[in-house]
Amino acid sequence: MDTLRKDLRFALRFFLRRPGFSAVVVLSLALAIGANTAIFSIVNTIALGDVDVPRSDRVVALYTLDEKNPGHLPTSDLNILDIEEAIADLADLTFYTFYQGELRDDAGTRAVTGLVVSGDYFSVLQVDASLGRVFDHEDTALGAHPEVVISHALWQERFGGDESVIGRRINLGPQPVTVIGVVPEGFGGTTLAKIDLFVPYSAHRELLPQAGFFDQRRFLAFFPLARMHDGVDVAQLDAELARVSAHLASTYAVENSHRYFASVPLSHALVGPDQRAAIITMSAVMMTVIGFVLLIACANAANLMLARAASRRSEIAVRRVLGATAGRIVRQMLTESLMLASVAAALGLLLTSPMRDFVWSLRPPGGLAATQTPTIDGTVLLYLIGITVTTGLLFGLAPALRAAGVDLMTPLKEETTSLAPTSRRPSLRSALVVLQVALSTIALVGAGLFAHSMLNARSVDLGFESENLVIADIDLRNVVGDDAAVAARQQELLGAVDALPEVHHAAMASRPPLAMGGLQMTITVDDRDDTDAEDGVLFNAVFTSPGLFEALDQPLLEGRDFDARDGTEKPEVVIVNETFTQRYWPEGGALGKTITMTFSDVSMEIVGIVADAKVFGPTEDPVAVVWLPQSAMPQRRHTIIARVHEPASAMPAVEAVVAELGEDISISNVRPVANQVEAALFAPRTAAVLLGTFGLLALGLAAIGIYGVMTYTVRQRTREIGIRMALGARPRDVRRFVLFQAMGLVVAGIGLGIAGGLLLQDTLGELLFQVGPADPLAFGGATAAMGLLSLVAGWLPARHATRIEPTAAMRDA
Amino acid sequence: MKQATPESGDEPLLLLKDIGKVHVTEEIETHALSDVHLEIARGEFVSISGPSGSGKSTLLSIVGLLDAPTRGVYRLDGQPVHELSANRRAQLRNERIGFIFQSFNLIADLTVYENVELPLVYRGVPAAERRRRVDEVLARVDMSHRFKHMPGQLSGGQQQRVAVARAVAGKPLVLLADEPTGNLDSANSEAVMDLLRELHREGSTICMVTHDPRCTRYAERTIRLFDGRIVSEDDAIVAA
Repeated sequence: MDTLRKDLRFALRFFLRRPGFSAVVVLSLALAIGANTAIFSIVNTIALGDVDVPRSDRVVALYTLDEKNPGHLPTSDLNILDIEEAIADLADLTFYTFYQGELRDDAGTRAVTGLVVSGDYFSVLQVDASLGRVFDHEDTALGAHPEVVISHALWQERFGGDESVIGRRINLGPQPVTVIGVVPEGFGGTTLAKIDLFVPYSAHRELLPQAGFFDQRRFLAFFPLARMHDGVDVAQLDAELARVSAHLASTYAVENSHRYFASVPLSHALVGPDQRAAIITMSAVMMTVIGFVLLIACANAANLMLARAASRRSEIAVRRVLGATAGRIVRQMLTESLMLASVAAALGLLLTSPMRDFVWSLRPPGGLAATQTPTIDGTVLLYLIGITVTTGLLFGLAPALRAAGVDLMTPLKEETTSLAPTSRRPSLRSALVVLQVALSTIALVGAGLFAHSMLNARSVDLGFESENLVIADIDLRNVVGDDAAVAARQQELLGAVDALPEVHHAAMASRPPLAMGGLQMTITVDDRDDTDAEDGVLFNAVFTSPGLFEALDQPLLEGRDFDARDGTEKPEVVIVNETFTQRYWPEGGALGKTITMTFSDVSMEIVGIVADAKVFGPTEDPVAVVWLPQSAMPQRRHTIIARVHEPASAMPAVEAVVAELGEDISISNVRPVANQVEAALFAPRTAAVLLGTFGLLALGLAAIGIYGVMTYTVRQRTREIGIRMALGARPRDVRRFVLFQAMGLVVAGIGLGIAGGLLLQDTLGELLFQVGPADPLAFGGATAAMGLLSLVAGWLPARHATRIEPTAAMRDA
Repeated sequence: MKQATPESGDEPLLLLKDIGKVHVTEEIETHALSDVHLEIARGEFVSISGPSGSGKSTLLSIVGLLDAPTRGVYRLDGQPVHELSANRRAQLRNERIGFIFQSFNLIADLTVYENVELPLVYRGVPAAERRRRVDEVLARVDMSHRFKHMPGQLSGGQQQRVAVARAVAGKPLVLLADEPTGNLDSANSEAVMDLLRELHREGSTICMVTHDPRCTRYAERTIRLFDGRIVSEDDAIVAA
């Protein structure tokens, strides 16, 4: 301990007496360590995060898998009840689905996101109320009095943490509910969505908009969770799920053929099993690139430490002469590097929060749960300690080993300023610069690939005109009366908006353009014998008012749009897009054909065919869509879509005119569709911004590295340069001599970086959009940026070299 | 000539037999030392002189266990030391040899006290014992009042006195001095040589490399090297 204390004291004194050197090393490492920790804290939450429930490893999420449709699908409540019975000996089952609505009370109206949960949701997850109580099994029974459990955040924000909230009546839309409990702080369900409240399954008919589908086994709307009993393993559960899948497929062949049930770990359900692979890949790319930044900072620090070790040869040799073993010297040098790394880590920890907040602010609008906000928890701190020690060893080991191998004769020799290289082999310092340039180039290539991907996505033809298009969410759940009353109010609303001078044309639809989710349905083509093969394929279904395609400026290729007749007289009509017709009638002739939507068993005539347009986002492949008149399934939540002259003035006008219609109609989230486009570009934009930031950081650090090593080289070769000048070398010859050496390292680094960039592009694969192999923009841009900055970083020492006085150089040497 | 022989049954403190050292660099062999035979008895003050390139520093580095001979035998205090591992040599250096350099080689970031303490730290001497020994040797070289100073705050003569204190702090068997006055003016040179003489009178064995005849006078015996070979050994008249 005494020795360690002495080493630490010496290291502290050593660095305090060299503030410039110490500051450069500490600051560059702090930036890299802070950025690494920030990214890790987010990856830890999203990709590696676990659900904060007791013994979460015993809970699995169940999904419906469908041979005809890709991905992990929700499950119908009727199927869930059968599964629950079948696996009762192995696990306890619960289920939930999402709810979006409005909370109304004396304090006003607020949009809320909630979960509709089965009565044993909390008992299965083993989460109890921090105030009041949670649901019990009776709350699942239909007709039970609607109750609500609220999140800790909502309790604090909306009710000021008032304990008398228990028993209070509030309204969810028009539906009165009673607050019975508050869940513990930090619990927000089992997904990343921000959850404000939990309502029981018993109230789902009143709260959920898809009323027309209830009691249908094909209504895949719920997400089951199963907590395995002690002693039961996943294999046993999966085997039982396979048995019940087969049973349900044979018992309910129409709804369940081709479908079966499978479990995934609960942590995979946080972001969804289908998104998880992309998130894991993206997280790995981010961690790799930010790891590169740390490596570059380490290489910089190692280079500076090597230079420092060179000037400490005499000191180290004296220590060796006085009896220090090589191991003792290595230990002392590593103590010094670990001390620098620790100071950098402390500073980096301070930088972590703002960096994390910046990155977190890039997440998609609509938000992830506050309870899932990345925090500096024990795992993150362990990671920080891990990378700090690794960093200290990485940049300290080479200088330490070099110092330990110092020539013991050094103290016996006269001091000399001649630092001429003893070998023509590339030095370790040069190798480190090549590494820095290579890693920076890879980071810049990554940024370029995503930037190009985003540019491609931004310039893609959406199939409709997104400029001067405004959308808003409309909620008619407070309208008193039957479907006819709702339809009348809807017409009134549409007429009012359409009449605004700021609005060119308005329509309503069940989903906004360029948004995830939405209703999917299976269909049967009536006059085809071979449709069995296609049975069960899910198509995107949109319920719309007349005029949607005019508002969107989406070309109608054949037939007609919906019109007033389709409201009541002739609701059995549909409009489809090109991709849909290509699937069944590639030779044409779809118009006039009939299809049956399996939820209604009513034949519907295709009366119009529209051009394809993007449904979920700019980068998707063409998606088949079926549009139905709103009268086919009256709903109370819609999106109003208005073609306007100018969004800035139209948005408040639309909001105001809807507000004038009365309190039973609410409008929210008024926004230009351009926002949807930006939201849909979230992934490539975030990747481009992050990798661009990392790339610039890497570029800056690499430039410092090049500058440092070339400055050292000029110093090392002062005598040689002096002799060259004495022999007649002109300043430009000297400049060329120095720059040639610098650019040699840079060219080698860029070459390696491009090879690494090609590997990176291969890894990114489908995360990129319409980016060709060895993309010239990304690779050319990275090469140009790296080359130019390297030229500047090498130019400064080269210019300095031209100012060497030949006589002084030779005399000093 | 104050020289013990093995036949006498009283082996000299340092015994080097047929020592040779060849440096090989890029296909060039340089014979730095050839057939060197040297014996230094306990308590002797020997100086080694010779022109540049004669092998003085190489001989000192072998004697000081900084380097190993290419051939020959070296026994220190009766123990063969010419084939030891680097770590074992480091340990022996620390315990048995004290070094004084021409350019003092005090560590700039350590105080006077810490510089003197350093070999004792490497030896693992307990803190209290270290303090006692450092106080003692600093008093011996009359530098106690500067124990908190950094080397850069001292004159050349003072720095060399501290270096002497560091060399003797571990009570070595032999003091090796490499041009100890090479960087000092005449007054300071004389003071340092007086200090070495006093140490010798108190029983220290000293082996000094120098080409300064004024220093040579302090030694009892002078060995002259030329082209890596000992060309003469003279008993000297010790300066009064």
